[in-house]
Amino acid sequence: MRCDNCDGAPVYNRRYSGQKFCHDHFTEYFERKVKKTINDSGMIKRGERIGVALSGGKDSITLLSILNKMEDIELFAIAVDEGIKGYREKSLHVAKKFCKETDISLEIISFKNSFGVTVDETKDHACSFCGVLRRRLLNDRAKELGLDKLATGHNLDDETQAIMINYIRGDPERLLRLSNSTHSDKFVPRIKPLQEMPEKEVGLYAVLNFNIDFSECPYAGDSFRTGIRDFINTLERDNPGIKFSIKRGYEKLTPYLESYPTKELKECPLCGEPTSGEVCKVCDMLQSTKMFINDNKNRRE
Amino acid sequence: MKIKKDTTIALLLDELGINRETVVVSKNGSVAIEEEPLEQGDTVDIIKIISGG
Ligand code: SF4
Ligand SMILES: [Zn+2]
Ligand SMILES: [Zn+2]
Repeated sequence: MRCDNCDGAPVYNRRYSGQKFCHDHFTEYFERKVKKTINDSGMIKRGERIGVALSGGKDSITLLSILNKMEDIELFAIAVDEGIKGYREKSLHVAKKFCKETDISLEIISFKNSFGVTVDETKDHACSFCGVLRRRLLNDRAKELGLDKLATGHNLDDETQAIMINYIRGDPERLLRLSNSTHSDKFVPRIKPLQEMPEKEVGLYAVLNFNIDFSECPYAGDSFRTGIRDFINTLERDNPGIKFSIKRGYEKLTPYLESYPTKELKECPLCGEPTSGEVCKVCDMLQSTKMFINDNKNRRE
Repeated sequence: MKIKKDTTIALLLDELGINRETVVVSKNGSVAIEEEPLEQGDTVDIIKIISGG
């Protein structure tokens, strides 16, 4: 078996197009496609200051490395330490090492310093707490740094999972928010340059090009999302290309979703950030988590 | 483990109940495609590339 473009041994069989790639031709294809996604959508313009949410995992390292090959943009890596013992230290180490080697500025901000709470202290609802707070922290820092965009490592699998989850939950507002970030000067626009790359390809690119730690977050257990992920991967295995089909179908729907009435945003009375409820999600979660921690403390004392 | 005759990485993954979309596999130290044939004595590394977080 050979690469379709040379005599090299193939490392990837792209079943949805029937092409085989050797190491070099796969790397070339992958980088070209990410750049094409960026250019076709006008995600990044010349001279922009781009923040990259860096976890040290395969997606964000791949993203940062490819953005670093683009000319005429300024990069700022921002890593968040959520306080997950035994897991985050490892990926932050990869992040630090990578930024040092590539001479990219890296800033690490922590839940503990910013909110006084870590994910490890939250117990049962770790993931929603983690996601909501990380989003806020990254946005705050991106605003302070005056960044034009905030790039995240979301790949095609992340996108299709989010699409399916919001379909199933019947949540058109969230479905719409996947493709256009909220229009408000309070939010730094988010971009997802890897959104056309299947997770398998990102993983392969990372295995071939970096020394990544693939260990899993201890809280990533059996959530609803894991079930959806496995379901889509089974479909993809038996029908190569189904992930693209899910995404294309969603894109055809978005113009119609835009006419869906969205809730008016108000200011959160506690932090001043926009919210559709009374108190924003961040303040709500911080309050209940701190209450939970204090209760436990009191009981112990 | 012992493997069957005329097997491939893809068949091995099926047997192990691992979805090929979730892993990168190398044979004797080099990344290989799932259609790669396997023989007794080959070393296979399966890297799980899908993770949460
Ligand atoms: S799996 Fe959950 S807790 Fe772990 S990093 Fe991701 S969102 Fe946070
Ligand atoms: Zn080649
Ligand atoms: Zn608030």
